[in-house]
Amino acid sequence: MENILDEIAVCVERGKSNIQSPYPPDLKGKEGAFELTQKALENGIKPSEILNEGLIKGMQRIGEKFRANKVFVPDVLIAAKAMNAAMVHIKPFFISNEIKTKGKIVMGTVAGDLHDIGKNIVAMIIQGGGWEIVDLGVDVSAEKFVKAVEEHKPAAIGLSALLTTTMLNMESIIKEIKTVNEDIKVLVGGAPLSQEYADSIGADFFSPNPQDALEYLNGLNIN
Amino acid sequence: MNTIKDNIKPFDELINQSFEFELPADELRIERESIESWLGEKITASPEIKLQVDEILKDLSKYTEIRCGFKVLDPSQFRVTKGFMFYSDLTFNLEKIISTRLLKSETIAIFTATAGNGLESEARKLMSKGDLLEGYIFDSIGSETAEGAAAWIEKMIDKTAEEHGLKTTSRYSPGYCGWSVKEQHMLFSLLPESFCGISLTESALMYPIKSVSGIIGLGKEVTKEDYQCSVCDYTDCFRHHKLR
Repeated sequence: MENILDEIAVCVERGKSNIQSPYPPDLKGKEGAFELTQKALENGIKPSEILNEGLIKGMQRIGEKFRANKVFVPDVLIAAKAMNAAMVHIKPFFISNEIKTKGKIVMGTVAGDLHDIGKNIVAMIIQGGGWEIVDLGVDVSAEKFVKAVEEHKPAAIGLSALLTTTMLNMESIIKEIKTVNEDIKVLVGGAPLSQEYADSIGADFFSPNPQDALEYLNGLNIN
Repeated sequence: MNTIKDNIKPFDELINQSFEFELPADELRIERESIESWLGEKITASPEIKLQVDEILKDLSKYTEIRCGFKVLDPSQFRVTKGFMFYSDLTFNLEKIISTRLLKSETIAIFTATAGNGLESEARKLMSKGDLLEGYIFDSIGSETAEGAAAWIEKMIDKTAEEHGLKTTSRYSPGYCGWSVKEQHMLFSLLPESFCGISLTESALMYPIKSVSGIIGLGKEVTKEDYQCSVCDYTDCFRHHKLR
């Protein structure tokens, strides 16, 4: 049975969503994450085991390779698609509370900025690590972030910006968020940011790559 | 026989004139190989991906509205010093990398180029329904098309400058090589309203998103130089490494 979990992890890591999936070429015509997850459940493997030892493990591997510059953005995208395909079978167990996510993370691209690919990639890696993502989209105002904090009670917030002009909006957004909940952790990311800038605006965490953000979140003491 | 020198046109006819072009997609000659460099070798090893990229490129005109143009500024109101460019009552803080490459310029041409909205909106549509890679392919083709249009207008500016007895520098854009993207507002104030159909948001973001703007120095003694990525702090710039 361990073998099928390894196979699921490989399918996620390599972006093999289902039997019809054309990539990777060497796995063409073979079962993907969708079919193998279904099979694992039919064989009595616990959904939590499939999630942790198969799906999350596969996403972790691709996240680490991305951090090490060994794979490109599209490799992460097809891995996330494979994970999503398998999650169709796992989601009902979240609804029945048989398994739980690690917590909620609210994410958004800050006001004035319409770029979302970077934010989406981080969201995919974090979601692939077992967290629930509440994606507020792009051009998100401080007011919307604050509303989401009150409504979803997230473990942390992720702010993204691609422009030097829009990253300036992060400071006021962080202030507003911390006014509502001073303990909530705020992660920031985006091409023009630096550790120095993140420190100056009161962010709790900055990294140029998503796997570090996931590891930071996994290290938080969430009750 | 006439030489180019004999045929040099008077520079005065260019001053403060703006020129706008609408291009058919095939004019840019975007090749699959240039898109593959955005996708990485593992993904592009798949024949299905190659086919998908080819199909989009074949129908590129369906998704694009390529427009580009330029305006040559009045040399009598133009000046560059180390770090700054002055035009009329405007001061641009270009920082060191760009300003030193413009020092010998007699004036500049401001240019814009856009792929239009189609590729970007198709990318968003696909991504929102979970077709992440397919959406990313459209997004990459959008970026490549905007860059292709910018390269086309750069060549047009080079040709026009040569016809008027001038040489050109490389092109430089707000947001790169240390030049703040905030100054895009000042730059656009020197162009006709909605030039090439591009507008600016308050945060200086161009709309359509797949657009490029910038300046090219013109003068008898300027030269084209490579981008100075090794001395630039902006390491996430696509010129540093396109793939990440």
